[in-house]
Amino acid sequence: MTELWRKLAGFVRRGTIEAELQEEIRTHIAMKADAIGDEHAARRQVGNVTWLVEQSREAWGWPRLEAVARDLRHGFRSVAKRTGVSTAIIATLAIGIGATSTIFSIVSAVLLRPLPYPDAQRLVSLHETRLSADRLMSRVAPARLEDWQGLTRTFDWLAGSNVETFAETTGIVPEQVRVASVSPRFFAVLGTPPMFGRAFTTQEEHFGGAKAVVISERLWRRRFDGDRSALGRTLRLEAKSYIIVGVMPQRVEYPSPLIDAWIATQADEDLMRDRGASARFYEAVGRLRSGVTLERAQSDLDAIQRALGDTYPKTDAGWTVTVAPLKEELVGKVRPTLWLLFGSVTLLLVIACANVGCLLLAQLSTRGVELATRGALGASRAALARQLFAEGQAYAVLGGGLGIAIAYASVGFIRQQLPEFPRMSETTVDVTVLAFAAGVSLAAAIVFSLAPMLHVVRRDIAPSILRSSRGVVGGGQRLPRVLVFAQIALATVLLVGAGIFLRSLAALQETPLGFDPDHVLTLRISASFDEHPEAVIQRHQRTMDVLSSLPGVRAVAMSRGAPGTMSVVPMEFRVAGEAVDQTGAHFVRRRMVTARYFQSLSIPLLAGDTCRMSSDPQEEYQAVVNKAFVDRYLVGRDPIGREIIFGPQESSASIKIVGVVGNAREEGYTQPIEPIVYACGFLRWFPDSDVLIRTDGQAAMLARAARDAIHAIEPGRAVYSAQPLTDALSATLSQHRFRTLLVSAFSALALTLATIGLYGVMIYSVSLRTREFGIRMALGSSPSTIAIEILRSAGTLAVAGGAAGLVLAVLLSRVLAAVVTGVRYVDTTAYLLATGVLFGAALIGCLGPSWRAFSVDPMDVLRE
Amino acid sequence: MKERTDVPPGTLYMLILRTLARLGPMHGYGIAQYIQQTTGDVLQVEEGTLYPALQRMLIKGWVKAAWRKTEHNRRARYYTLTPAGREQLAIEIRQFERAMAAIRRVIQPA
Repeated sequence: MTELWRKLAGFVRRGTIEAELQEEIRTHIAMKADAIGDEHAARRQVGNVTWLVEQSREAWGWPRLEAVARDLRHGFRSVAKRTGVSTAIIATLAIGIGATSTIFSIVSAVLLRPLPYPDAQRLVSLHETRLSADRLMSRVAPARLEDWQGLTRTFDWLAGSNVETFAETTGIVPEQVRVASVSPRFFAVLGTPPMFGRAFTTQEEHFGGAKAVVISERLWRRRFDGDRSALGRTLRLEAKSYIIVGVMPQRVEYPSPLIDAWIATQADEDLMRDRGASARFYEAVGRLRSGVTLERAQSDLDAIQRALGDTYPKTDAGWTVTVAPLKEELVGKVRPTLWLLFGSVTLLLVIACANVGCLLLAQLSTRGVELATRGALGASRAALARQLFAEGQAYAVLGGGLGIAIAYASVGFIRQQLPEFPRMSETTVDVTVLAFAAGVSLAAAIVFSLAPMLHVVRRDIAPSILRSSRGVVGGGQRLPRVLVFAQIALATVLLVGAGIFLRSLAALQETPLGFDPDHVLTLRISASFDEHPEAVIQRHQRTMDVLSSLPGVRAVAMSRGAPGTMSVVPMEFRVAGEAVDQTGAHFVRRRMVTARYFQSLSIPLLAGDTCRMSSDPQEEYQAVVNKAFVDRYLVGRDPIGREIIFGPQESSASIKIVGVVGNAREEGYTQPIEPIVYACGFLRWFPDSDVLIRTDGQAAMLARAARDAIHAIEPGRAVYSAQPLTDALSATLSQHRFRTLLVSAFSALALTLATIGLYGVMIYSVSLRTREFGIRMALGSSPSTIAIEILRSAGTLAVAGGAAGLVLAVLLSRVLAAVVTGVRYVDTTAYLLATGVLFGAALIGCLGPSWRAFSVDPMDVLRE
Repeated sequence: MKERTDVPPGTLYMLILRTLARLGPMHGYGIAQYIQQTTGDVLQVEEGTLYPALQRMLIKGWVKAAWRKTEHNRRARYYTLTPAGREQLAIEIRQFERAMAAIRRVIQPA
């Protein structure tokens, strides 16, 4: 160890060492000269000083490393000499390594790294879960959260949060901000202190305490230009003032990406008494005590919830708790997509390596004379192989470097494209990614150098070169053909993959929704949850009135969440007078909408009528059900006038069915049609509901007018997310689109590389056989016979590669459909499409070589 | 002129260490001279083996080096034994003696 250190230190002062040695030996000579009295004799006896210094200095060296460095230097020199091929090789490698590193940087940040909190493996998410067959998961009520915290022995802290969109009105215009309303102990669970300032005090966390806000680094930089004097300033959120007490670093993106601020919920006594469905709004998170396993925490909470069930039979019996790693909750959904992309990009890299192997092999033949000369001068085959490997390394270093640059650029681009993707702010080209890129480059160098190295080691190179340059019939083409075959096969797999994704995406987009999203503008108006129901009704009425009076507007409605863009949590219900089977309660999706919802979305009314809008906050909603509901629960009976009772108890209020409408995919393209109950009336409990406006003209053109009209009557509120409904629906497919785009891009690159590979091998083969063709033509063969021969030879390769690729694709697409949601079509069209594209490209790849063979001039050949 | 022999392989370290143990700090020329004189000019240490050996011993930590003035006022590099070097000397001598004893048994007339 110390020896290594001394050597390293020696490396640092290697200049000094040499100087000292020189002086030492000069002194030695001088002393010797003094002793024997003859300087010349002394010099003669000591001999070559430089050689002596060199010998002594070598003790400090790293003989093996220095040999590698020498090889590399040589490699770079020989790479630099052949600009054309070298450029092609480096570009190919850069694409392969760049794409792989890009995807790896996402995989690494999102899937591999722990969440960016201290002891992140102790963080878990918690859901209330029905003990019924459907195991319905729900958010957590504040009251229950406090009970759990009081009784648990396996958690340090439990907390909850709920994300809302507010208007912040201290600026010139109201600004939309994404705010998390959090329970006590929230930041203690995350365990991350603010960059500066502080988290909430206990007093601020509870009802009646001072109103404080912790803002995100992003909001801080945006609104306060990163000025520390932001602490102590005020934000006005929905007409309430909050003092800024702390700034959280950007990596804290919980409970949502792009979160702007955190405030304390300060739940009042009423809320703390409410254990029912309407109070279940916290996304709950907990920090396990050190050393506690997930299983122990689970059984601890199971026992606690059973006890609560005994204490509160009406609300808590029949529920349990589900504990899961927080990381799983945050990134579990994107895991299959990311691994899929990583798999595709790995295929691309393998193709790139095979391609470079081909290019190197082709190049080897043109360098035959050089290598043969070296061999003749005494270089062993091992030395020649080492030289080729060194060149491979040189390519890898250059290609890898360029690849890292590509990764930098594309990671930036992807971060911009997918701001809502989990953990994007953590996705960077960091040390891990650099190490990965370096490792991949080295591995690639080994892989693609293998072909030429084998070639040199296995054969006696000089005779083979003499034969190919002077002989008549070129041979020894098996290896490059195998490499091209592999490229075509793998490119076919990627093409089929892209085809399947494209078809699935198209199929999703063509799914009939049951409503007409064209000509509909959606927008939201910021509001706070504690607005009084009566005030909400009046404000909603005002808003709908002013929007209805805009020119071109056909219908205005509101709903809780825009249709087709979110999932609807099913609620327990029964129809009055209908028996509920013994297996348990029925669950149905419930949507909160206003009367004109159906008209504004062109959902046909099949029976009865839409609801009557009552401005009395005490009056119950009326129910409009869809056809699927009638088909499942009220077959052959008249639904109009029947009562639907939500909730498990007798005492729950009932709502009367007034109409039946057509089926609409309220949960978007990817979800099946389900029975739905529309609770119809003013959305008095949901102040920030979505507004839907149907217009004659283009929806986007209306945004401006709608915004202005609302600002005129609500100057203190922010209008946000104003967009055509079609855009909102299209955004729900953005992840599908993203992965389709990437896989398509990868397969296009793969196809290009494979085509180049095919072209390269064929043109090389033609160049080797020019003499043969010339002679054959002179003996009477027609040029077209020879051109067809080349075409056939290339065709065989393409067909064989394509067939192998299709078989592989069939096997892989099964896995694909099982693992990735939204891939429903393992269909023939995708395969035909891929095959067609492949053969098109292959044809382009071999036209050039065939033409070259066709136009061989026998006279030229014979004259040579 | 006496018949001269090169240093037997594997014994150079031992000789240098022993010399330094006896003389205290000494420069390369002095070490070579000492070995030559003590062996009655039988063993000759070549510069081409002495200096690389000294460098290796520096790396192994058996000796330290410092520049000093000689009595003739020349700047020379003096080598000093370190504790590790002293230990190594003991090891080298032990190994050498075992080897010598073994060799002697082989070449002894029966």
